[in-house]
Amino acid sequence: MELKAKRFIGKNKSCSCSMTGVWRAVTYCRGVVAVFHSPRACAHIARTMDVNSAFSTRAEGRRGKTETIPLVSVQLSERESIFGGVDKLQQCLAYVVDTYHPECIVIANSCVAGVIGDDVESAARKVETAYGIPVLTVGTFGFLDGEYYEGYLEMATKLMDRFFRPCQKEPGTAMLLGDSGGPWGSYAREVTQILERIGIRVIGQFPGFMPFRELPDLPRAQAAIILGGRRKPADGLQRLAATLEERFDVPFVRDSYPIGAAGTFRWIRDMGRLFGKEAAARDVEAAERERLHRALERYRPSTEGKTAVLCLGRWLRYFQPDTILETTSLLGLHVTGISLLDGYTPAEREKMEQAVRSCTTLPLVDRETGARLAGEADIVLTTHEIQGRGLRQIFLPMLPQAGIGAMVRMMEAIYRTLCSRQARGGIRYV
Amino acid sequence: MSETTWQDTCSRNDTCGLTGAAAFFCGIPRSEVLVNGPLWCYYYALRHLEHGQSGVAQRMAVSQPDNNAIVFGTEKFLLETLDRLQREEHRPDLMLVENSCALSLIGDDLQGIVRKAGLPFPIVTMDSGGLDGGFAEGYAKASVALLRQSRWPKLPVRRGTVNVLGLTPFYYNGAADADEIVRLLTAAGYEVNAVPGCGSDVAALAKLPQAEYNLVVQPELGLPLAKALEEAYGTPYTVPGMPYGLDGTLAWLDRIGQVLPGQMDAVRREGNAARDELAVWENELSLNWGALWFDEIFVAAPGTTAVCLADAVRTEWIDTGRMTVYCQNDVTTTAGLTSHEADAVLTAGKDSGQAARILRGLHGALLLASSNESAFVQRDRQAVAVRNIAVPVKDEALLIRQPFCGLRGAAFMAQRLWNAYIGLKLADGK
Repeated sequence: MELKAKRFIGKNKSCSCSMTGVWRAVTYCRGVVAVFHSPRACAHIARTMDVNSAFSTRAEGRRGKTETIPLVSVQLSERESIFGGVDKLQQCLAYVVDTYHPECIVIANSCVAGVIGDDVESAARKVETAYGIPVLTVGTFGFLDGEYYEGYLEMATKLMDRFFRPCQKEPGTAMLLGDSGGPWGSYAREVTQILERIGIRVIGQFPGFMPFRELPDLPRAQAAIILGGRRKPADGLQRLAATLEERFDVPFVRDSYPIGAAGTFRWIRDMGRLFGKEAAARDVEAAERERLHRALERYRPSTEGKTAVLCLGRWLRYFQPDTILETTSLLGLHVTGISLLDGYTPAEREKMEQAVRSCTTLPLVDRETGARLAGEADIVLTTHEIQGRGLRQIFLPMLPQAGIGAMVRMMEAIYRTLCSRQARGGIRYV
Repeated sequence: MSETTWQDTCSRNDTCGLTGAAAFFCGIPRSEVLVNGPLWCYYYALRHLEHGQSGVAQRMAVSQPDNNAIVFGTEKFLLETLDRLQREEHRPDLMLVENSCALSLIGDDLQGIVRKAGLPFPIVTMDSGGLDGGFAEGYAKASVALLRQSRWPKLPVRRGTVNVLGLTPFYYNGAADADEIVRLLTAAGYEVNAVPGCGSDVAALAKLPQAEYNLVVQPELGLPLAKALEEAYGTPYTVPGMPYGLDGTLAWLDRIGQVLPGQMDAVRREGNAARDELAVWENELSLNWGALWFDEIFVAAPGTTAVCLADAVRTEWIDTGRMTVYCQNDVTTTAGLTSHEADAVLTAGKDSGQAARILRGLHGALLLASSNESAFVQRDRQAVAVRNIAVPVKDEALLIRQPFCGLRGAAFMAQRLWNAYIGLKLADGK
């Protein structure tokens, strides 16, 4: 008997779809209309993401602006797979212009369009010339030639290249760069409240969360803040930020994120230096240290000495193990083993093992030992739901979680799980 | 010029043919599905199906081909995946291997590839995905593919036996509804021979040809199979639709009785007793809350559910000033089913814009739909009572297996509608 994820997690190359990345880069940009050059159902997947997002926003008691821009599918069918889909795309774009009077159209391409070999770029140029409306598209086609983040970043880069313009600076303002759940997500909210306490006002979150008309003036921000962590998408966002700095004189801090306690304190100091508000940043750092201290006072008496097993199935580019290990250490949890699930290629397994060894001396155990230890442990901290009854699992979030607020939420989840008297186990999402 | 009607996808939610095809096979006990396509398409299909049936994750696999497959074919990826499944000791009674839409265009000989694998169980292969349409089209195509590729021998007809076509556990509450339909038919003296895609195993499916009649309850799913069975074995079919409400259910049995006489006495007694009981409770509830009334009712669901439920809603449960029915599939021109009580019957794709406008204007209304539509009205904080009758469902826990349809479902629906009405009254008073 060995540890096994509930769902198949082995990945090759084609993990995700670039179309939803393009969609997410403009989802809430009033004035834009998105067109999926795809079968109808692909647009429904994007819609499903929005519905999920709308309900998780409500579940967390947040009030977000959840009105999305129109999303229209070209509705490719068997006929276009034989004769090509460009004519239908152009007709669809004409419909979009007539119906929605958009200020900009964004086209995402499906793998079907990629296999057919449609020249979407030329079609976009024709429509742009005919109607005098900017029409942007990307070079990725569904899972071909790129994934979610390639679509997202390419569209963000094109929006920046095309519509940003040099502006007079507005001191004490920041633009947020990236997604991480949007303005109403925990990451952006945590960052925004810290920045406000330092005396910095957030004027927009790019891409995806500002009206199209406001894009040109966004470079008036004194600096850019990347929402991310040491994960794959942040590399692309850093490249985007570097271009922004070079062309529009909007500086940013490289490789600094409010992730984990040490990372958060360092990030607050970095923000103080970036905006020339060091004294205010010191005060905020002290307050955040006190916030962490209070949380530990509350939770550590219940967590100290309790046993935990860490189960990892995400690749290193999507998950860094140091933050959760920092939390378990602060709580005094006894981690009896770290087990890697069966979702790794040999090369990716090696990378994750190295990353684990670089931040802890805790034992890496095989899946069979992991299953035994998990059965004995008080809690299981895991990137994937594990098969098996009775395990008290806590799901390690997919998206990076920012600030001391995120650490406190994780501590609370661990505390509540340990308080549970139910024998049935189950999984708790943070 | 294309005949396509383009519209914002937000007022419609469907999945793709790949999901529908997988749904049909996952509705067959001990069958499995291998998606020859990207992880993304597989995962979205899986997550959709998991809401209807636990354990689907252990019955669905994915081949994950990369870019090169577009040129060199998917054989390598398929054979590797089949080999892995063999090593993991998967021994299903039946397997579906289905191409996603992009891979359908490559032209791989799926049958030839799976023959090479030399597997000890029958395999059905098909092209699938969004080019074929949505869930219903995929389900229907898979059912016909199973029939055509299985080549079951003709059997002597057993008098009084029926197959029930067009049921699925992956519609909202579909498993409970299927149970009730089988119970009603059995109570009315029919022998239910098989329910393909909703509980009948491979051995039972091989006996499909012995039924005297095929009953197509949800034609968007079951009509193509009924036609194929008539063509292959000469089995006649009828399309009674779905039985909702007490009178509606008895009328439904009468319609079936016109083509294949049954024994209605016991069912009528049960219906009359349920009607008396329900009337007492409704009078009692009216004492406090007044007669059940909504200014407007909007019903949105898969075609058959929408038109059949709508008539019961208006003739048996609720008084209203106006009722709009929004069908996710056209069952009127294809199967002759429509709502006789609706003020307007709209069809997704053709009338989505009108549906969106009505949804935006709902106030003091009842919305019988899915979380897709409720996200729409909740976004604008409209005073609307919501009850889910279709997937996706994000805002309700439905753990007890009680049907929406049939005699037992009539009481359950009355309960849900009354609670919706009371909930709206209470919310009004806040």
